[in-house]
Formats: sequence, structure tokens, C-alpha cells
Amino acid sequence: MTLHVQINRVSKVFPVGNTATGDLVAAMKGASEEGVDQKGKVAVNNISLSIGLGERLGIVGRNGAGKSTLLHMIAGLSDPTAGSIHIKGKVTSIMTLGVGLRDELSGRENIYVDGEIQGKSRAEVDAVLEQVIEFSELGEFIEYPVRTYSTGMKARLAFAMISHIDPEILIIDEALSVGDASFSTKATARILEICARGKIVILVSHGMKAVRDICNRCIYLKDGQIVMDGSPEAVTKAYIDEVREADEAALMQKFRSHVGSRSFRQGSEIEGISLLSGDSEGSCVRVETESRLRVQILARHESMDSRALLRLRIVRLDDLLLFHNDFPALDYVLDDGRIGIEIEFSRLALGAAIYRLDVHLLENAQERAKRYAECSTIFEVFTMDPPSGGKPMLFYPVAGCVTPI
Amino acid sequence: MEGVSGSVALRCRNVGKTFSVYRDLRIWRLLFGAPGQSTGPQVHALRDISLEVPRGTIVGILGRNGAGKSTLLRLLGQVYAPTSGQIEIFGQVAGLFELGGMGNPNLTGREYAVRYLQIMGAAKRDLAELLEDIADFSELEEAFDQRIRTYSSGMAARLYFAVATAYQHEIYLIDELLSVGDEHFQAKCWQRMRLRLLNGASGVLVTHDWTAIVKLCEQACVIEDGRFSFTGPSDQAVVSYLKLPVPAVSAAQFAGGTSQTHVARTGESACIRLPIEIRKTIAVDCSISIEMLRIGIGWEIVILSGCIAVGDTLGLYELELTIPSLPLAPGDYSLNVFLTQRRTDRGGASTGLDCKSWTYGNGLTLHVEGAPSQAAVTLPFSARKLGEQRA
Repeated sequence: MTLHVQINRVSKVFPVGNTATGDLVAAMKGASEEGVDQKGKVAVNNISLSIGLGERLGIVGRNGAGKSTLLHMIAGLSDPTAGSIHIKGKVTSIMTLGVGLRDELSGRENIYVDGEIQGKSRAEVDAVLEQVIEFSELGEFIEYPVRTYSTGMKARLAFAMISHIDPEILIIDEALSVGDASFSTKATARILEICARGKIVILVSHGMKAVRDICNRCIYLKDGQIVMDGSPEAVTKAYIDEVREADEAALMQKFRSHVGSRSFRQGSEIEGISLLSGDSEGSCVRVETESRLRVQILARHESMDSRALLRLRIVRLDDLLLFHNDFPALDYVLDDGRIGIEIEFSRLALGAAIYRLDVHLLENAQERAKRYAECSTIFEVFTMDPPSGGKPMLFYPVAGCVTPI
Repeated sequence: MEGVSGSVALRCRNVGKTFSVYRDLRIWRLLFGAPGQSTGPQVHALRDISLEVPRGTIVGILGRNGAGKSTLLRLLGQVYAPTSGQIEIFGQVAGLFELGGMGNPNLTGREYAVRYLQIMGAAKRDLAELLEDIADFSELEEAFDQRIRTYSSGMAARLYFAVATAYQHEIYLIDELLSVGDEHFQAKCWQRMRLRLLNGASGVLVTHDWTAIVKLCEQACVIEDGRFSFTGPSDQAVVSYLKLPVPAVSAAQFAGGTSQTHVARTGESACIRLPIEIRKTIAVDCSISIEMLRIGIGWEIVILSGCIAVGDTLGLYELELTIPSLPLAPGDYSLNVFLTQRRTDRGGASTGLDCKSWTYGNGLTLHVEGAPSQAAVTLPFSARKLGEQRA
């Protein structure tokens, strides 16, 4: 019989109690009342899914979409409220690191115990023992009881153990931030290695790149249901597009205190700021780095004189000033008497972050100049392809030319 | 005590901490107070630690997992007693580690904050104002009046941070603190820590994140196997901590005559010339980063280049890098250059051949001249009257 995971109309409902005693009473009473008609939070809603040999399945979705709940049920850590799960093959999960360790035993003894639980003979464990110990970087601590370990040490041991047995069905939850940078690089490399060998891999990740690199099939979960199932490229793209809109709304809501317009003098007002990305004519909040960005400002200023100016500032939310420029208002007077200006960044160099855009209408360029009106808005710059070497402040071209000497 | 301390906030002299490991828990021995038999092995978590934190500064302690960082912080926070040596603390301490230690998950966020502030001795008349600040900073909104057990870990972390930093303590003991919440919240945490520092707070920051150290500390120590292996300026501490292997120069290298300092002007095309020698027939790439490094104030990568092909045949080459209308404000920047062997497989690690970088202790400098500007960078743009076509 070949390896497979078969999920039939599975649902999971978490009861929502109000008090600890209430929960207990409900648990005692509800023991005999099976069924999905219980009140509570529906985490997974009637999912059917079949995963076959050789499939490396990625699961994407927002927080709370039910990804982890589904994974826990496949791993056998919790039971579905309704429906059934059939699994052929041994499931190994990397998500609850260190939970299975026995405190009183030494690290070395734990490796043997874990090997036995996984159904390995002593000889099989002996074969990989030294690799596990070396990978865990525990040194002399391998002989000490696990209760003397720090959290990081436990996580390292647990990861080393899991990653050295030959998994049949491997489940990886992205909550895999084991130890410091050097260890997590090693851990990531190891996962990729396992994926190449593993017979069925199920990966939950918010990193679209990881999903595209590792998986050959991808599902998109939303509110506990599968809304899309297909190739990782297609599904991750659909997911990104769909969350963008929701993100923009959330962004404006979260930073609403930074957004607003104020007038300090009758007849002076900044009527609007629009951000246009690429060639689109609709205002947007999220802009891709290195794309074209146009900032359109419309203002009213009744007592216009030659010194009045519009000041545009772009400030990253940690208060780093990235753009500061003054524009004489008189140069941008429209036919209807209003001030209208379009500032274009043909290739926006800003790095991925959230920025505040301030527009001030000032009396003149002096430091203590009177402010007639001001207006601020928020925008986010994102990148689809973050560079591996770090998070630069700017995306700016560097050209190279080689000559033999 | 104040008179003795003067300009020192915290001092350790030859502090050591040893834990005994017993094969089994000798509960009866503990209960009846039998003399401890030191049969088990001893773990020397810390040995011979000497540290002085001048008032108004935060000293960084960098170390990997299990190096003894958390033990040291617990000693300073008087959770553990040292086995040997002496610890002197001159001021009120706020421990930003094991946050929420005094919390009962059945308290609401507000109740927790009140309890913390009362224990720390905040004046009653300040309470309302502090609570408002905590509610605002933690962004918990209505959840502030719900029980902590209903919080996600991120929400709890935000509450604990907001509470612990709500008012000015004299000494902060910080463990990996600035990794709370999302980027926006982290930026807020940084601003708040800076404010506390400006108001004269002192502290110790323990972390494995070296970027936090260069951003917040002028001085730092590296802890390895329970001992300080380095004490000195933060950037040098990072070099000592990372111990990046300087590649054995064999296949390709930056040739002699690579200038240490390169000069450019704001707004003009910048030109950086690097002599490179290829000594084996492999495909060699070069990449650079320009970083703003102000020790104790900030560190950030400003420009990162992609891989630029240098060549694949033996010989001596000059690579001329051009950055059109340099967007950097005047000042000194750290210039880091790397030679790598071109990747053939997707996702594989590239092999480093040679590098000159401050994290290796051999970085170059880019000196940018020009008129001072208010913004950190200059972005190229064009402006026109609304409705007019672009020129």
C-alpha cells in the first residue's frame, strides 16, 4: 500500500467557554454529545483533501485560517470534531520541538528513546547517533539530564533527532525558529535536504518563496476552507493578490493616527494627496519598490504670494527622513486658482517599509515659517523578491564594468 | 552608596556561577537539609566575569545559545546568587527578561499593569497617567481589559514591554527585548529605549542579535562558554562574535592596491575601482554593500548590489562600479566588498572567495562629500503642474 493522507469532510470546532469552571462543566456534560452543532469557533470547516506519494504540499493562508489546526489533526495531535482522516505511513512533525523530551534522561538517552518510539532498532539509532550529537552542538551537555538544558538547547536536540530519522510523511510548521542565526541556517538547509528525500511533505509557511522552492502543490486556506488548490506559483500569486487589498485597508486602519489633514488659516487647505503606482490612475496605499510612483497634491491657498511653498517630506515610520523638498506654490497654480502638483519618482528607490508622507503649506522656506495647512498619509513599499544579504534602505542600481589590466 | 558609585551604575567583580548536576532529584536531601554531596558533575555556567556599566550607557553582551547570557542576566537581576565574586548595583533595576513573571494569566492587562506599578512603587497620583500610556503604547485597545490568558503571545509581549518601560527606571536588564511584535512595534520599542537612555538610564542588553548591539551600545562584551572572550567597542565585538572565516585566498582575491578609502560626491556619479585577481578558472562575481554605521546610534544597509560578473579566466582585472547620481547624504559610510564563486545550483549557498567588510574587521570606507542635507538620502524625482504632460 502506498503512502497517502486522505482527509474526508473534516471539521474542527473549538468550544468557547467563559470561565474555567464553565469549560470543565461543559466538557463533562458534552462528553456524550458528539457532533458539529456545538457553539464555538470553527477553525476547520468541512475540508476534504487527498495527498499522494511524492507530493510536497504547501499550505498558505492568513493567521487564523486554520492552517495549524489542520496540521495538528494530520499529525494526530488533536482529533477532528467531525469527519475522518486516513493516513498510510508514519507521520513525523516538526512543530512541537522539545515537547517529547524526557527531563530526567540525558540527551543521549533521549535519542535512544525517541528512536525506539519511531520504531528504529538500536543499531539503526547507533548509526546516526554521532551525526545527531554533532548536529545538535550540545558538546558535553549530551551526557547531562535534559532538565539542565536551556530552551535553545532543547530545541536543538529535538530538531537534530527528528531531522536524522528517515521520515515518511513529514509535517513542518513554520514556527521553526530554532536557536541563533547560525543554527537556523543549518536547520533550513537540513529541511531542504529532508524534503528532497521525504516521501510526502506538508509545509505551512508565510514565506511564499519557501513554498515555491520546496513544494509541488499548494492549497490556500481561508476561514477554515480550501479556496484554491493548484501549482505553488498560481496559488501563491492568487493569495498575494487577495491579501493585498485586505492589507491596504488594515494598514490605513492601524496607522490612522498618522493620517489626516489640518488647516491653520481660513482659506488654506490641502485638499488631497493621491499616490498612483505604475500607470494606474487609481490611488493606492501599497507600492512595489523600483516601480513608478506619482504623488498628486491638490491644495487651496487664497492669499497667494510668491514666497508660499509646498513642502513634501517622506519619513519612514521609525522617524528616518528620506525625502525633503520644497516647491514654490506660485509655479503650480491651476486655471481654477487651486495649487496642483504632480511629483514623479520614475523608479522609486525606497526599500520595503512603511512610510508617512507629509505635505505642508508654508509661508516661506525659513525655519520658523508660518504653517498654513498640513496633510499626511501613509504608504507601504513592498518587494516581491527581497535580497538575501539584508534589508537595504534603498533599492538603487550599481553597475559594473570590467577591464583587464 | 551613591557617593561610592559616582559614575557607575552596575559593577561585577570576578563573578562565577556553578550549577551542580545530580543524576536524580535529591528531594529528601533538600527537605532534611542534608549536606550537599557534590557527587554530580559541576557545570560552570559563568566564570570570572568582570563588568562595569557606566551611568547613562547600555553595555551589550553578545553570545550564542548556552554561552551563559541568561544566567548572567539572572545574576544581575538577583534571581540567582553568584557562587563567587561580587555584584554591586547602584539604582533601581527593571528586568526586561522573563517578562510577565509576576503575572497571573487570569488578570486583565490593566490589572497586571496596576500590580506591576504598585510593586515598583509608582506614586498613586501618577497611576492613571501611566495606565493610559501603557494602554496606548501596547495597542491592545479593548483587549487591555480582557484576561491575559486570552492574549496571543505577541499581545502579551507588547503588554509586558509597555508595562516594564512605562516609567523611567535607573537600570534596565534587557534580554532579546527588541524582538517583540512586528516591525512597527519594534521601531516603537527602539524609540522608547532611546528616550530612556537620553534621560540617563543605564543597562545591560543581552542578545545574539549583533545588529541590536551596534545600534544601541558603544561598548560590548562577547561571552563564550561562560567567560568574556572580548570586551571593547561594539563593532569590534561583532567581529569577535561572528568570527567569520576569512576565506583562504586561493581562487580569487582583491589585489594589492585596493584603496582603503573611496571618495564620492552627493548627487554625482560615484565610481569605485577595485583591482581583482582571478587565479583559477572559475566564474567570479563581485557584490558590494554600503552601510551606515554609527556605533551606539544606528546601523543600516543603505545600498546592496546584486552579483556583478567579474570574469572566469585567469588574470588581473579592474572592476569599475558606478552608482549614478549618488543618493547618499555627505558623511562616512562603511563600504563592504565581496567576491563569490557563481552559484550553479538554485538555492545553494555561494562560496565566498575574498571579502573586505567591517564584520570581518577589514572593511573599506566611502567618504561622501557635498552640501549637508536634511534627509538621509536624495531620491531622484521630477515635478510638474497637475494635468500637464510629462516633458
